[in-house]
Amino acid sequence: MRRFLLLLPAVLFACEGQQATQNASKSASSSSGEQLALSGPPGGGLQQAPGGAQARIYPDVAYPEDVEVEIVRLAELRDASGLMQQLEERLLSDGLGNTQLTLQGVAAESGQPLGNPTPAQSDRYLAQQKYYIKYRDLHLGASSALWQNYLVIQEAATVDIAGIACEHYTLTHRHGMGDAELFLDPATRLLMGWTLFDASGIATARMRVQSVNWAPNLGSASWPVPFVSEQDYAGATDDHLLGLPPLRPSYLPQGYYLAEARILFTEVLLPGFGNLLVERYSDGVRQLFLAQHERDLPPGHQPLAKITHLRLSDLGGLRIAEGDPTRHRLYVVGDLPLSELHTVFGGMLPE
Amino acid sequence: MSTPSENSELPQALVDDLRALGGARAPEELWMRVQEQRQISALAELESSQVVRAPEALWDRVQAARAARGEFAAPRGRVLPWKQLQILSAAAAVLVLGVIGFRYLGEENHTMVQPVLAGATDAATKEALRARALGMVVTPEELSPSARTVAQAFGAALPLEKRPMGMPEEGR
Repeated sequence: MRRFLLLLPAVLFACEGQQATQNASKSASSSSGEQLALSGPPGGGLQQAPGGAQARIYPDVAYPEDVEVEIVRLAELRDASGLMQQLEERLLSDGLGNTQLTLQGVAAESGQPLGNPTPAQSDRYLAQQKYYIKYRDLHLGASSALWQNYLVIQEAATVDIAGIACEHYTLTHRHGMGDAELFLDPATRLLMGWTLFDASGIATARMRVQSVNWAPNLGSASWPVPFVSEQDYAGATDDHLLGLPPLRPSYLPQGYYLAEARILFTEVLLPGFGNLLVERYSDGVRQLFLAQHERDLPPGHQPLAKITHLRLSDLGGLRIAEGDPTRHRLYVVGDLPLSELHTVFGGMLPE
Repeated sequence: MSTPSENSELPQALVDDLRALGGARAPEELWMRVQEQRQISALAELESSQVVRAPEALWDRVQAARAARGEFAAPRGRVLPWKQLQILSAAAAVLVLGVIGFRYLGEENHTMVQPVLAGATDAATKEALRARALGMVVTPEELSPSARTVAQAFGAALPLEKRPMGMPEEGR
């Protein structure tokens, strides 16, 4: 048990790859000159522009990992203490599925100058870059869910980001669970920026592109190869890969649908840990993750506890519920209130 | 999938509609159901070929005579033969299953649309679900290493490790 706990952070999502060179310094502020206010208007993240309303818009988005491009961007994530952590990233993509995301600068809060990342932070990016792009970055989900949960409006005014007058879309949650906004280059459809707000209108995550290079030098790129292979989870026929049938949710927050289920083959690297099942639910914008694996219990050991304990923690933009029901280790992760995560967790336990 | 010649008994409009769907692949279940329906049609045809059928005109005359006697109201409009009804039923089934199938093949593969449960779940039910597990709020540092790793992969902020003594933060 101790062995896999020590190894897990380094290996679970580890990737091989070339560590990027640290580029010259840049200031933490956006080169576009756009105002990076930390919070939106009280009581809601976005104001609707008069006359800008259009019904049932599904923005046509080109995600950076789907095109050949090199971008430098500033990610801002709210941490557990409420500060907006700043991360300057360089993303290189060949448009064919190969991506490289490196951390160039870090600041503990908005307004501070960026400093060089620590080796541990760089290593963490090296290991988790694929998942930052896939899971942390904003991706629109099914149109039915998007329209069910959000009012999508293209604002009349454009917003300048990295010297490009970008289309500005506001996504207002119909039940006040937190709004979002995105910015698109009208010529290339490239996602130039996005913001997620919580229910009180405070920004919890934000991304802004600072520079775009449409002719990147891919010749010297070293694409990371995941240590952990993965595949789609096809249902009960794949349960033998998990070691035991997974726990199923009997309760989901309003408007969420199952967008993807994947098996990560962590057992190969960490015997006794079991393979990890990751189910990703989406409300069209936000995501909820249910991840579970078999616990590393001694042979023949049967859990005696009648009551399942779980730990709930607020990490800033994201919250998590973690516990060990029966022979499973279960994680529920999302930006929903802790009480909602607790309800989802409880709904996965037998009565 | 079947070739166009195998679907020659389908109405042309339906064939055109199906072709207009382009390269989209229908669910396997749809093809199985179409095969099943074709087998049923073939059996019905086989059965009908083994009996001596009265002329269609005779049946029309019998129907007219029964209507004249007031046994039942004469049907209004065109009465379709059984085989044609079967074809239309099969075509309707293909369309309905196709619509359902392509809806699920829509924007995201591997997507299974879930019902909205929160709106149908009252506060007491949610409380009962929460009561199945005893929750305790902890700091991020009190989570397991695996939990922190999972949360970071899904988008939590990076932990800001303290630098070793004598190594001040360098501006850039």
